[in-house]
Amino acid sequence: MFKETIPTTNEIETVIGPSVKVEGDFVTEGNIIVEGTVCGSIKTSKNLKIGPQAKIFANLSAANALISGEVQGNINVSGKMELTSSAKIFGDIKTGSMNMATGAILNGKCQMPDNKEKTAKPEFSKQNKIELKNEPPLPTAAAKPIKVKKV
Amino acid sequence: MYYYLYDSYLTDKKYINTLAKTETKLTDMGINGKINRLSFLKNIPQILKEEVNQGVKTIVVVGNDRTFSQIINIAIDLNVVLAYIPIGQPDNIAKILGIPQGEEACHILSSRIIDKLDIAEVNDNNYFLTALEFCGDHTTINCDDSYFINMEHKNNLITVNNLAAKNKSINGTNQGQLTLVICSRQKKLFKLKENFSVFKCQKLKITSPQSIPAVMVDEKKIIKTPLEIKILREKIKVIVGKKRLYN
Repeated sequence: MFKETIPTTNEIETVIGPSVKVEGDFVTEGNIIVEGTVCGSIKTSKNLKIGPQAKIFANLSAANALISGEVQGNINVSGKMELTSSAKIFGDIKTGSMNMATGAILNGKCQMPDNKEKTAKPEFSKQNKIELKNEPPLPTAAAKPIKVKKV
Repeated sequence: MYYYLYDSYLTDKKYINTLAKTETKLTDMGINGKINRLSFLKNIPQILKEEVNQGVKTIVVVGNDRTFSQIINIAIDLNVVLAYIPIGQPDNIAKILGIPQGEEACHILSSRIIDKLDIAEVNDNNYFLTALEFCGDHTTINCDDSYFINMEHKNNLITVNNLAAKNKSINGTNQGQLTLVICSRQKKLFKLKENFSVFKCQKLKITSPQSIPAVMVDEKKIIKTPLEIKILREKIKVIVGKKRLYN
């Protein structure tokens, strides 16, 4: 009756385990899970998951990304991006939307391109400036003459 | 026209009954043909070439996975349809192809569902249908000439899968890609921890500082590194069953 929403192993195309180190341009059309070390670049048209022990020295490009490890490089995500508390990013991010947990480290620029046009800035310069009237200064306590009653 | 190749071990007493029943079934179905028995003294590639020239369209291998793999290596260049009647063990290839043991396989043969299967080529002269395995600690693997995989730990079991059952945890589909599985076993505080890495590619180059033996699982044949493995798309025609396990 209810369909399972958990992705099966058949959907996961590539797993880079903690025992391997990958060097070069890694391009695939399927989901990727990274738990090891990658140097170069990673490009996928589907989801990317980076585990807490993973160390990435590469530029990343994916549809959606869940990052828990360390990334030294620029990240380009077209859809959703999630940074968990153990994530460390040293590079610029370009993403559609982002969810960042407390404790995640981000050193770099973050850009979120929006297709909608910016709201037009109101033209303040054409309005007349509000002129403030010159009011007399308030009497101070020192200026007031002290009346001394003679006994 | 069918041509039957029997493995030499079928002369054993325990297979005589099964073989007789299978032969009767084939005769009843009207798909019997010429029979030849494999032996060391016969030049099988030469015999098969001659038979194909005389009009044989289907070669039926009667034996186990090892027999079938041997014939695949020979028949890859011949334009024939391969069929398989498994008798005895191991029969993993038969299970993947959906072919039952003994006389039941005759029904599969008569129904004649032909599928073109990918085959993996190793160093230009060896072929395997299911998998190749080796242990590599300091091995470097070049995938599709685009990236390298280096092993960081010891105790790695590396498997290159071509055709594997769908219900296995990591499946190798028949989609023109090889599945590289690296299983690393590490002992941590009296516990054995296993890590898996899975890659899909079309071409692999395996190198190591020392020569490592690799086993072709089908044939139990040993080849030493360096290895160059590539996939040949829809290279062989095989008669398969309805209950085949691959995609």
